[in-house]
Amino acid sequence: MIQKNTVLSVVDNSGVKRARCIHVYHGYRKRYAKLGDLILVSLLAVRRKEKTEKQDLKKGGVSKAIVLRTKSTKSFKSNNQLFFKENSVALLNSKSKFAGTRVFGVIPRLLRKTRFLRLLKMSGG
Amino acid sequence: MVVKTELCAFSEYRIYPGHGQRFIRRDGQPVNLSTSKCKGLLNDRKKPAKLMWTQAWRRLHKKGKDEGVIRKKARRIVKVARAIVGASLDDIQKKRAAAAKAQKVSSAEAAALKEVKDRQKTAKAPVTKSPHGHMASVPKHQKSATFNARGGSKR
Repeated sequence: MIQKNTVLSVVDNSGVKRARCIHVYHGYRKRYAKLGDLILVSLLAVRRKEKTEKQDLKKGGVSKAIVLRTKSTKSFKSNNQLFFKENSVALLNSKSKFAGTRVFGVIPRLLRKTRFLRLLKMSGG
Repeated sequence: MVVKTELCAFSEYRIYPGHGQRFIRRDGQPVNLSTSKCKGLLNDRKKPAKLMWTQAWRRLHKKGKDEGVIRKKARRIVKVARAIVGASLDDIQKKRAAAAKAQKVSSAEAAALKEVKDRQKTAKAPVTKSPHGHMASVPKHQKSATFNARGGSKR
């Protein structure tokens, strides 16, 4: 349940460390973003300045992102529930392409259902 | 269809379908939790072995084990011959064999001596009684097959 002002950790190698959600996409007054949803984030902290400047990402800038992990539970039809230890995103640039080339850590299987299949290639497994 | 039930990682209770949550740790390991009670305690980083209602505590304190326990047979201690400093295994075994033989010899000798004594008593012949004795002094008819020329018993 990511909403406005939620601070998230960025887990790709785009060079950005932390981001804050400023808008949740796909719905009028849609309050919460869950696993696999798109959000708009402002970039709070940067890990490697050289890397981000290449892609025109800078601290205080704005970027799209896809939610990869949430602390709140995701329920499935099979009555399972799943949750992670942190709220994480991977950044997308304006053309809806990924800003990084790798994604770190575990990502849930349900992301196969999204249109961002490149995530699967980017992740470790 | 048989649905697989998991065990709660905290309390080790069975998690039936429709119950519980799965927490994915940072390293990707899933942790199955049966109730929000377990989830809360896990977040507080409590140790299940310290909480009396968990199976971990019960195992640690050996509770409820009497039902299925079969007493093990008392193990027999097997004596093994071992070498010690100053004597190798061969030396020890040789010495043992020699000692056993000597004992056997001495007991056989004692038995032979006793036999001689008895015979002499009955025969009432004056004879010197030494175990390694002069066989010439023994009358010929008393000489038995177990004696050799030097004295001592049959080897």
